[in-house]
Amino acid sequence: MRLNPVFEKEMKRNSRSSRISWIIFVCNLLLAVVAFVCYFGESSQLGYLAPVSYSVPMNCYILMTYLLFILVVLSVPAVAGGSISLEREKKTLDVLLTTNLNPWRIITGKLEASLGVVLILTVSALPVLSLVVVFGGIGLGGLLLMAGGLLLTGIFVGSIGIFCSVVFKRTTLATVLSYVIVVFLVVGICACTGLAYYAGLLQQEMTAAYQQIDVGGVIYLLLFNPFTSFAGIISRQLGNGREMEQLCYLLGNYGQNPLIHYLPEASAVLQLLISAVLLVTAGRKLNPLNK
Amino acid sequence: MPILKIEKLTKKYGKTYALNGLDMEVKKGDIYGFVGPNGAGKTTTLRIISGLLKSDGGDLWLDGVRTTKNILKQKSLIGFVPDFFGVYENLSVIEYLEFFAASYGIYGRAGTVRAREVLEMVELSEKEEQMVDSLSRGIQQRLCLARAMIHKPKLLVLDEPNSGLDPRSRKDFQLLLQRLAREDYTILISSHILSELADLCTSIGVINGGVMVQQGKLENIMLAIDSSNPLRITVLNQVPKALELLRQDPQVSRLSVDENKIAAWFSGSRKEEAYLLQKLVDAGILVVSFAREHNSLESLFFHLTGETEQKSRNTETFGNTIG
Repeated sequence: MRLNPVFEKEMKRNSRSSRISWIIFVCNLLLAVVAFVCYFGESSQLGYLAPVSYSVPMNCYILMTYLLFILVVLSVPAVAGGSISLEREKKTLDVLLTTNLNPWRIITGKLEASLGVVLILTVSALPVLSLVVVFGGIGLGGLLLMAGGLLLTGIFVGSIGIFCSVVFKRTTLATVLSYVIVVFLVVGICACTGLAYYAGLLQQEMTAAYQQIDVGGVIYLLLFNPFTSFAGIISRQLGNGREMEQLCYLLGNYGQNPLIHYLPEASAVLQLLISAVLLVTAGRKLNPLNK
Repeated sequence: MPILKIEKLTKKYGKTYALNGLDMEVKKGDIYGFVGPNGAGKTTTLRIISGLLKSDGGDLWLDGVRTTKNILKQKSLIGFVPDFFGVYENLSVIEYLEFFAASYGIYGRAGTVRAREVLEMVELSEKEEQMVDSLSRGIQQRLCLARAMIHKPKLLVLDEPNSGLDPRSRKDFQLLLQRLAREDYTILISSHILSELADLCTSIGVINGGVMVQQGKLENIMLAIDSSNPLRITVLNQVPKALELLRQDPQVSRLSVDENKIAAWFSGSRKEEAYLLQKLVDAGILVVSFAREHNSLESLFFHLTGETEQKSRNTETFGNTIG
């Protein structure tokens, strides 16, 4: 199988740029600090011969994977947000468009390059993450599933970045807007849900009779949050796999709503669908013959 | 068979026609100079030929294939060098070319071999390990040309390739293009440095207002324009006799004389010019020079685009160039 030339070129260039080295360094430093604090804190409290609490490595794993998720969410827009607009600014896009590569291959090459960053981050974090394997509970399959979750997040966030990069001519604007959208999806949606819950709580306090809090349709915003699918994967690995659903039932009575029942799965499918739409639209917009 | 044939090409931006039924023909082995004033439609034409812009109407044939609906074929037959171009940071010269080779489906070892071939053609073999962003503008221009040739296109399209180059680099680039033309490449070049085009091109096309005003072999066009110029004759003796002989010729419409220098407005062909010279020599007149006054490409340009050379000179904006 031939590699996409755009992906190959980007990986070559990335491997020589200091930006990627810094991303890897910061990522591993943060993960190492988390691991060190968790394990060292535990062992210093218990002493050498005391039995280790198995919840510590599990909590440490959860912390580290969520940290990895945040790093992916923060680093991918930096790469994807300038992927096309930088080519335009540096006057290399026209030449690229005159080759036999169609816009779709250019777009997918750029996405693969963004996912390459996710892959580098994940693989470089594996030694630290693998500490948890020593204690059991998480196997190779679990680690691969977690990597899959990060990859899904990378695809979604990367597609948003590439779309912005095609639509907006200036790299700064494209990157900033990518971050705004991604931060809204990850943090903003959680904040909206939290606000709706708080409003429900206030309403509950004002009425004398017990009333179930209901955030209504706001719950469906969680489908657009990449953290929903990722947290679902971690919940499957270390929890009962129903934590997300249980959280939803705290926010309202949704009966046997399949979307709520399979919220992480539905969110993953929706993210992939949105990514596909964004990439196809970006490809069409990039095609000079569509102008 | 022409390498490139364009028929009734149109392109509109809003309500303005950038191209309004452009016809164009570039023959195999030609170095075709494409000139026209600012906003005449040169860049639009070159971008349509290179597949970077969609035309609103008309047809385009490349190497006998109608490529209006076959963009992939069109791209594989064209090597495009844009007026402004950038290079990638953190890539060596050979990697840069290998990337473009792969972009045209030439992968791996075959790509490296082809990259080395084109580097040799543009005399950059010794630079293959250098980083592309560390090269000078002139060398980058050569590299861009090498990149355009990586997939063995039938037609090289160069949009203002000399802009931003110093005179030495311009000359080197010009010599390189002439060598490529001898190696069977067909080159379509747009430039505003007319004096350089005159030295370089075998054919020329002048566009104005989105239509082709004149095109063909450069020497034929120049000859057609030159024919309205007088013959400049210098004689050493018998000036009155020479004037008498010239007056008798039905193809001489006007004469002027300044001591022993005669200007004769002669409408005959090159052969008839030769007979006229022979007639003067046979009459015992000592002729030391006998030549048609030539036009420059610049005067041709102003003639065809409806501007006067004087008007342009008065502006003193471009000197011997046009924008």
